[in-house]
Amino acid sequence: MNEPLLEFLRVTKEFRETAEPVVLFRDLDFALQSGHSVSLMGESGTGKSTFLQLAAGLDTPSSGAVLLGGREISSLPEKDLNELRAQGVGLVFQFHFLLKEFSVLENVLLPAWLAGTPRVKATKRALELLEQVGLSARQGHFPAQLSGGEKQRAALARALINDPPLVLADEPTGNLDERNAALVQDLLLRLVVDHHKTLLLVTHDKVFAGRTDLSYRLTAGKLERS
Amino acid sequence: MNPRLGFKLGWRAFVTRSGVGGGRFLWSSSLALALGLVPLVVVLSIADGMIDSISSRTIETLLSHEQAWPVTLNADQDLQEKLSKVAGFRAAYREQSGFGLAYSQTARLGVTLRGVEDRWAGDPGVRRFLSADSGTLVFPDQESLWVGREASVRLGVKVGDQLKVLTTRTGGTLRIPRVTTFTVRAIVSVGYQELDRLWVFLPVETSVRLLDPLQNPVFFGIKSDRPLSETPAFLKQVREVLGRNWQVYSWQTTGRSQFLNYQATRFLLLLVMALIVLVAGINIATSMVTLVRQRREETAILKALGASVGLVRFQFLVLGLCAGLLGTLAGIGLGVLAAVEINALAFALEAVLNGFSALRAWLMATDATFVHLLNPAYYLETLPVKFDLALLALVAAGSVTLAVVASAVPAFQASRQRPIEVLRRV
Repeated sequence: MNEPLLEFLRVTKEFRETAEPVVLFRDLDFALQSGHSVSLMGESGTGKSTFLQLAAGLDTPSSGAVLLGGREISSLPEKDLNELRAQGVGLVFQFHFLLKEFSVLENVLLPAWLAGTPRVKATKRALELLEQVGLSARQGHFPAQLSGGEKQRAALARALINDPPLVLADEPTGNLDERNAALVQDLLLRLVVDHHKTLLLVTHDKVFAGRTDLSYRLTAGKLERS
Repeated sequence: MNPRLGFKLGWRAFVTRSGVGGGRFLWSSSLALALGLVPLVVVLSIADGMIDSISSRTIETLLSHEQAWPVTLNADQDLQEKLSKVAGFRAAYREQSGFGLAYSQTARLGVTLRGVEDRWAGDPGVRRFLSADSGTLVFPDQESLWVGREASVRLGVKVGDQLKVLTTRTGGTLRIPRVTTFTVRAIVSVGYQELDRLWVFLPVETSVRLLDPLQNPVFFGIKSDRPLSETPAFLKQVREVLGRNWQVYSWQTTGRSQFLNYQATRFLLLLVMALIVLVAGINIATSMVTLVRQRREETAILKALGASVGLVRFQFLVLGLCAGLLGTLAGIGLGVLAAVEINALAFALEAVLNGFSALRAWLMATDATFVHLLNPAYYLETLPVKFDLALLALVAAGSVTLAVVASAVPAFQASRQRPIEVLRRV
């Protein structure tokens, strides 16, 4: 079997801000093979988003190690972490998090600019992705001029602009109505397959979770296959 | 770090109009900076204009560019010939200066007696500033006088009137008074009442007879066509050609206290105005702190997408730079405009104030009190304006730098922000 793309080795995450430390998970092991799509479910507050943020290098474990492509990211210096966020992972949040002062095309291009991708090449790919998410006609519009579904589709395109091997999606449809949620779900899963990406999806939606290769449930700090 | 991207992020944030976190929030700080710069530019240009105007008048009509004082008798035999070899030499005039008491039939006034050659009034520099309100600038006889405008008002004399002047000379251990009757031939003005108030001109041949030669020796006022900035070089050359028989002083020495006073006043004005700009800079820093807080989400997104600490910091420095540039350009532009139109503005303000005063007097059935903002009793009759472009550039650079420096701490705070702290709360 190939080396996992994403691996958690005895990862513990606890918060010590309160008098009584809150332990989200202790000595957690997890492996995600390249090309697979995995969903993570669980009740609110169980640490699903934190799990995802650890995978993205946005947060650090209290102990243990998070490996991406065999490289331990939990102790990387800031500069390398920036590089990892720009090129190693594609992030989709529950809220679109598009920059309001930039057009749709520019928002999609932003990670490419941060990664230093040549302008022409980046623009060509951004236009292709916008076409794939059905926003070609809206490329010059600003986020305030888009619907919730359109914003999330733009965020999907942005997550893929740098061709990252891993896509991390944190309840990407949690803020959308049923019709738009279905549209974004279809699009996300299709893009992941078309672009040969590995997907780690956090969702409350059982149907959406059921469409991934593997599904886990995070309960009381433990990961269980569901 | 990609500076071009940093500029793009900062600029877009600065021009965005949308709600919370929109950079237009900083525009009010730019406005405050502009409003701080306007009085600075106006005051500076008027101060420079006044100093330049008063200095030129003083040099051309009172001090001369240089004064050559003879050390030995007959030292002036070949002075003109020697000076003609110095580049930029215009002319040299015999002069004598002393004090006297002038009295007419109605008033008395202590005056400065200026003994000058007849041809002195024809000097281009003198003609530029000294004009005759009435009469002509010639001495038809040895008992002729030109009286300063303000002095003539105080003495109540006009052209053709008789004016007596009391002078003293030393005779042994005694001071011997002498009264001479003159005819007023001209009422003169340089447009600066500090000078017009006190002086009376008479032929140098007459002053030599009236003034004490030991206390008020005759000297030569040397005029130059070279720029004032070349005064030290001109002085050096004049000293070289005149040799040891002459003590030569430039206007920088003879008017030292006066010019130092101008520079000190100018510096103090500049300092006070700079404090206003400094407060505007602090205002930018405060606004930047607020903006950094308002843009926490945008900063978190950028960092989550891989933006470096340097890029985030640079973005906020660009925001400060934009605020500084906008405020500086607007402030200096408006300041220059206001300075150019300062006389019209002063007259308009005077008209408005006097209008209100008249209205108030009419309503209260009392006498109106009118103000005269450009009162020639205190200032030049119109406010002269001079733009020191190098200084304006320095002010502009300082103002923009201040805005960027004021943004440094907030920018640093923004760059240290951890995206997870914001994303967790959303």
